Formats: sequence, C-alpha cells, structure tokens
Amino acid sequence: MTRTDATPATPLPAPRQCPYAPPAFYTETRESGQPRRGTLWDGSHPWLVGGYDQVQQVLRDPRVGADVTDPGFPNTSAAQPELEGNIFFRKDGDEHLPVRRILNPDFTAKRVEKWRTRIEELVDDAIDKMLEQPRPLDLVKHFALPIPTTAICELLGVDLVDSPVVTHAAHLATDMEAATEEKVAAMHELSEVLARYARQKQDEPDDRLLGRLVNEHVPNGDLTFDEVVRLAQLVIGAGHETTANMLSLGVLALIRDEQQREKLLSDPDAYAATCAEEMLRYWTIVQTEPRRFAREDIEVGGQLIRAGEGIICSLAAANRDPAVFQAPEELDITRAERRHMAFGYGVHQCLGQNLARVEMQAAFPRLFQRLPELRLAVPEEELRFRDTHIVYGLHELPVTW
Amino acid sequence: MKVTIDEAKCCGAGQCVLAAPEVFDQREDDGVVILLDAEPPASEAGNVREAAALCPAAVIAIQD
Repeated sequence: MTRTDATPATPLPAPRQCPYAPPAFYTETRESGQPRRGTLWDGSHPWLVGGYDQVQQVLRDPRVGADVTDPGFPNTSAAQPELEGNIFFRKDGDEHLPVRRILNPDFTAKRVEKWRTRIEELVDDAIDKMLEQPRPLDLVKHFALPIPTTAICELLGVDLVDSPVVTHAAHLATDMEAATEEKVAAMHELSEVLARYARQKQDEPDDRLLGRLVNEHVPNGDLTFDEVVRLAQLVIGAGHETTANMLSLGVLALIRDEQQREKLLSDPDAYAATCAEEMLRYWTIVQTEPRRFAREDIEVGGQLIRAGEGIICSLAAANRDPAVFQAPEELDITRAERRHMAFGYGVHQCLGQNLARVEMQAAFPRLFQRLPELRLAVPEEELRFRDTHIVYGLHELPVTW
Repeated sequence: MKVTIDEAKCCGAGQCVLAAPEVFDQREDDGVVILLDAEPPASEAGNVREAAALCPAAVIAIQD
C-alpha cells in the first residue's frame, strides 16, 4: 500500500479539453490505476476515483459514507449541507434505505412501464408545439425540458410544469458558481409552493406520489410533513433537470452522427432501448457525483485513503473504461451493454432511472421520425456546454428543420 | 442454477426486473426484490447473471 500526499491543483470538476469526452484529468486518473487528489472550491482535496472496478469497490464499501453533514464529506458548494442535510439520499443505513423504500413504489420497473403511453403523448405534444413555433428554436426549452418536467409533475401530482419557481430552483441548485443565499432562497420558495400542494392533498387525497406520502406516511409517523416537502423537492429537482440534459445531449449526438441516426430510424423498436443506454454511457452527465467520504482507512488501487477523507467517483471515466467497454470512446447506439454506471452504483443508485429510461426511449426515435431534417441552427463551435454545473449539458440547443 | 437474494439490503433499483423479468419482480409497497423462481431454467441463466451483475446493492447470489 502506498500513499501520495503531493497535492495537484486540478480543480473539480476538471476542465474538459473536448465537450464530447470526460476531462483528461479523469481519464488519466483511471489510466494511472490509482485515485488522485483534486481540489474543490473550498480548498479541500478529495480523492478522485476513475477506474470502473474501483468506482464499484468504493460505492459498495460499507466503510464509505454518503452523509453530507460529515466534516469529511466533499461538498461542491457551501449550500449543500443546508439544502441536502436532512434528505435520505445524503444519509446512510437506517436513515437512507427505509425512506428510499417509501419512494420506491412509484419508480419500480413495472409502475414506470405503465407511464410509457403517457410519456409518448408528452413527446408528441412537445413536437406538435415545436411545429407551431418560428424557426430556429431552442430545443432545450421546447423539447428537452417540457417532457421530463411534465412527467415528474404528473407523477408527483402537482401542476408546476410552467412554473418559473421550479426551473429557477433547479437551475441554481446544480450551478456550482451560484451564491449560497441565492440557492437557499430559491429552494425555500419552491418548498413553500410544494407545502401548499401537500396541504391541499391532505384535504383532497389522490393516488399520486405527493398525496400518497402526505396521507399515508405522515399519519403513521414514517415521515414528518416537512420531510415530505423535502422529498417532493428532491424528486422534482432530480427528475427533470437530469433527463432534460440527457435529452439535449442525445439529440445533439444524433444530429452530429448521421450513421447512428439512420441506424436508430431503421428499426426504432429494436434500437430505442440500446440508444438510450448508450447515450447514458457516452455522456455520463453527473460531473462531481457520486461523492463519499471514508469512515475508516480504506485502500483503493493500492492507494491508502484515510478515515475522514473525501472521495469523488468519476462515473464518466468509469463508463469509458476499456477494461469493460469495447471501443469506449465511440458512440454506438446498437451496443447491447447495460453495465454503465450513468445512474451511479450501490444502494444510492438513481431512484428515477427507470422513468428516465422510458423518457429517452420514447423521445429520441420519435423526434427524428417526425423531424428528419432536424439540424443545428448555429455552427457547432458556438454551442455552450454546462461546464460549471453538477449536471453537464447544454445551455441551449438552437435547431431548425 | 440456484438463486438467493438478500432482501434486507435491496434498494429496489429494479435492474433485476429489467434484466430477467421471469425470475425477479418488485414488491408493490416498497420496491424490494421478489424471487419468482429460485431455480430458473438454463434458458434464463444469461439473464440472471446479467441481473446479478447489474444489481447496484449486490443482493443477488448465484450457485451453479
């Protein structure tokens, strides 16, 4: 076992050399076979883990914690402990799994499958509305955001699809450069709106997620009313911004690659699912997650990580690990490979992953079936990627047809 | 092939159901895995292995 205390200054998330590839620092960390230290905004130096096997090892090690309030936890902004400190997904053990199991029923594979027809309608509705707009238009605003936002709002049972409160809060929450006060204020505003909905559902129960939480799990003491509001906030935040960025990036990839686009359209039923998985693997949009800290000394790739030190797993580097994926730098929508970790790994793996899959499976083929001439309305070099956000993506995607 | 599951650790990600729907299901009330067939036929072996490999909480064990 070795230990290297030399501290490189590479900031996290590391700068990208190419918008279509993970940062070189992540790839080089994987290739070195050992975790390497990066630097966060607060001057702390968590370990970056890049190899596929090493990421899996860390994320299933019970000596590794996910509690955002622990002093060793590598926070990507000062606001995080306050915004996320009491939410199950930043907790361990009994503070995590029982709460996750309360949310699970709305996200099981079968339950989500029942939403497929509705999601297909949302895709068609978004395209219908695009056709009414003057061209060029921003695909992020008119396609990538409305589909998952509507889906998650309907699943939750709230009508906040066009609410600026939601988009503002979600945008700030994932922007690592936004000020703490601004983030907290935006999330507070959103939680007030969600609390109003929750109170309304106490009087008029329904069978959607928020109604179920407030009418089943508050009376029996599983959750407090405030916890329900926080969970609703988490579901709404995590449920649309992530998928929206995957939809924009996936569309961009298909616009750029005529061969892949033609392949998808040659047999959408056959390739819709593999296309979604490949987009997830290729883009791997979370830039600084999953984050953890060592509760005890652990060894990863021969490197000692001491108790109390922070760890950031690079899913992007892991998902391009040549030890697991053939020709990992290539986009191949026919790749029958579901071992990617775009949704994370371990007991915290994305709760909404099955919903996100169905949304992508419905959206990619349908968009190009209905708009086969879809193309960029600006030179590719002018596209602005979300480099400083927790979730990678595009600020806007100007298209025409 | 014999399959066993550790319910206590299951986080209900549902990857087993997507990989091998003949062998795994999820409980309605908490998403925890249900083993439909503890001794699946050889035709299911590939799917079951994929389910075990994909399970994020590593709760599926296989004995040949």
